[in-house]
Amino acid sequence: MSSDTLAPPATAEHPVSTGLRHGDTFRLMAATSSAMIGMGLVMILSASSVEAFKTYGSSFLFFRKQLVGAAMGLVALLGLSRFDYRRLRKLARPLFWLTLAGLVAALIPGIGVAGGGSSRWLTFGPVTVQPSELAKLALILVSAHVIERKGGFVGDIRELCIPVIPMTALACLLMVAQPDLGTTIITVGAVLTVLYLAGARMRHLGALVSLGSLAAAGLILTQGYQRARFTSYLHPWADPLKGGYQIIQGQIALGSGGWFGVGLGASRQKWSYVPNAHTDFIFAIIGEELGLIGTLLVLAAFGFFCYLGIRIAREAPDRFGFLVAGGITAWIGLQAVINIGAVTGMLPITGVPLPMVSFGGTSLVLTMAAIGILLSIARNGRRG
Amino acid sequence: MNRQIRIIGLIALVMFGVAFVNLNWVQLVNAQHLANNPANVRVILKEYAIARGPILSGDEKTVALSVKTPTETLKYLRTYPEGPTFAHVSGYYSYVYGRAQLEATYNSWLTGQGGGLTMQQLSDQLLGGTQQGNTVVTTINDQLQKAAAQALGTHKGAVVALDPTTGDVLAMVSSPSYDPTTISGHDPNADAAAWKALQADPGKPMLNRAASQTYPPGSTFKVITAAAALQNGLGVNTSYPPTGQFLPAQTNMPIKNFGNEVCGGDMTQALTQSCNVYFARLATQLPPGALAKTARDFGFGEAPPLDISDVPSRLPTDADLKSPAFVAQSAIGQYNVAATPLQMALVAAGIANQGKIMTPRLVKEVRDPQGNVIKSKPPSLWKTAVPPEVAATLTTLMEGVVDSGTGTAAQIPGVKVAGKTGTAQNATGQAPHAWFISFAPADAPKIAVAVLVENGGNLGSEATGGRLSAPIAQQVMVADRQVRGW
Repeated sequence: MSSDTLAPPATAEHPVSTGLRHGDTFRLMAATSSAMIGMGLVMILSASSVEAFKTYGSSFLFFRKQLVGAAMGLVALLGLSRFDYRRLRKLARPLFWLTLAGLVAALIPGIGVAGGGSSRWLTFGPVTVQPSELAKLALILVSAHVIERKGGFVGDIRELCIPVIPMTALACLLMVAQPDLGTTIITVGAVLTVLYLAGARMRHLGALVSLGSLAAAGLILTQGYQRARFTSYLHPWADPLKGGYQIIQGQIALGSGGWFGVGLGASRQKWSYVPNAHTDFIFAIIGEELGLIGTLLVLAAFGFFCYLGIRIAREAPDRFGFLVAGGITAWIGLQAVINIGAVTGMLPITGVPLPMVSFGGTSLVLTMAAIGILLSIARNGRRG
Repeated sequence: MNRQIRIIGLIALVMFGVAFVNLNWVQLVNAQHLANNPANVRVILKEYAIARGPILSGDEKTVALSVKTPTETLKYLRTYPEGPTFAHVSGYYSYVYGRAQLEATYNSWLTGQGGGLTMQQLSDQLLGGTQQGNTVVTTINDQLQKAAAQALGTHKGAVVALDPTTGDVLAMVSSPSYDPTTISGHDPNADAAAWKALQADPGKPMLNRAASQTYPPGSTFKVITAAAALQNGLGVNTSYPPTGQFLPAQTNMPIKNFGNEVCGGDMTQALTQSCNVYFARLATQLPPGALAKTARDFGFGEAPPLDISDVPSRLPTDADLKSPAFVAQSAIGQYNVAATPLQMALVAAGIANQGKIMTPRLVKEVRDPQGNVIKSKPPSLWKTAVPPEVAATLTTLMEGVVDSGTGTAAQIPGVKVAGKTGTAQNATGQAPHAWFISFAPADAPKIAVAVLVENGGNLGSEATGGRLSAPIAQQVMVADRQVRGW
């Protein structure tokens, strides 16, 4: 199975039913991801230069940090794309326990690092990691692994409930405590996709979703922070300088971009008007500088990414690969939609980064690792 | 397995489709709305890049001006060199809280957009030079404004001084006041802190007591009752025997005199002594609606046309005038009657100007940056309140008040002063409001002044308009005599 090149094995070089050559899925996935990561780097340089200069005296600080992240991500991506993904099954459980440990540690004052009203981070010397980012990948892997061991089918409610649901619930509880509602929703979405692909009944999943929504609604109503975010989502103009500020400034950035944008680097809104311009709200700066053309290209790239991810799942040689590819695709697609939805005012702000594009080392490294796994599945894929 | 993946694909397609539509909406359809939105900092930045024009007093003192800052983003900072003295007239120009008073009404002139651009402004705009705003010149006399503020001192209240012949607002003071500079800065947090402190202040320093707050006018309203009587066949010789109280029909609540005194006689004696029972009884003799009509003729019931915000003064309602008890109370400026100090100044000014009330004028003219007058506002008539002969009679009556009545504290040696005191009851247990309305010289009026001190100032319940407010009005008139030389 091992190969010294990134290219898929020659045996896969046959036309498939959809007209795409089998190896094309691999290549297109690699190309799409590289293009988006590259674009992300450019946009981070543009969007963060003001903030970086103001805070640290160097316009390149965030860019350089992200470059390090991208380099580490590239190692993970290349490594995992050559690594036989089936061997990840052995790693699934340890990875899950590691995630839980990280999530617990992040909550402990003195060990976890707080920022922006939430304690999400762990510091190891110069490196800061976000365990909730790892949770998404770990839960996808462990769910797929457990289901596969059960024979790959969870049509029965008991099979469904033990142990995937409690494991997910435990991790989610810890993430909600941070609080990180956005990542929780994405994790739940990805696990649900895995369960659905494994044949779980719609009504079972529906019941789970209702239960989860109820819990989320309870959370929004009882926690001032979440409620304030939800209220400002519904009525951003009620308090344009506080709660609604980010939503409104993000939309102003998008609106002033028009068709073709104000030009790369020419954003006015990044001059301290849009908070988190280089992280969660980078899409707003893309809209301002590159216009509708730019944002639609990004949207199309994510759409294409999902299409390729689904193809990889369909062509996966085994059930584990099928479930993992489906889960990863759901994760990245959902995260992209939730981020873009928040910036355009369609969804409430939950503070999740735009995959591959936003600033954030842990997020980038893990997203690239996930893409590596997708590539590995694609490389071993059977013909459609 | 393929069915599931197809459904997942479909869900993804729908999600991206919705995002696609929404993106087009925000970036294209909604773009114009977003561009012009006040929360759009670029709109604000554009405005702060303009050298906003100054606001001047009538005697060319700078009340508000914009100074260049070293920052690139907010190029000009608004400051108010006179501090709290002009706050209620100039208003503020805040990054966070917007604009108020003249800063709001004359905004387009001050930014240089109103009334068409001059060639200079047009070329500045086209060639990217600094856009220069126009100058707004008020009618307020800086020295008089300061004299009025000083005369009012630490009392809670207001002073309004008008030129009866032109309607010019010579002074408009409301106390306590605030410094608009504190909320017009460029640090939103500092502005917000100052704003919150002002809002929380129980003295309501941002309230313009001169024009935006009504108070029961008390005995100053007797001037209007007298005007109504004089126009309805009840002359100055109308006499009632002196009594301590008057019980109108259909009630058991008698009208009493101040300090339970006994008074009566003719109208001259009654006004001089501010006799409650006399005017209460006089009003019950009037045809239905006559009192309300006269009050309306003086401007009650509508907000005087003013360049800053003001409120209408309250007339006795038709229902009030059906009951003799309420007619009697309205006649002495109680019950449902309420007036702003500005309205009572307009009453005095109207009587001084032979019954004609001039439109209160706060802004004299607007000048372009080169000093050319690009907009001017000539004096205009607002209302004909009473015929000249009624005005003359009222003037004589009011001169009696200052000569030998409750308003002697307003006397100025060598000048005939006409006036009327008022001590208005309000909420039970609270000291009355002290009023004084006046004009001078009575034979050739130059200035009309209304003074209100809320809740008797520091004299408490012993306060009367004559003891507390008349001296304040007198000081303002004396100051005007020196400043404008009459």
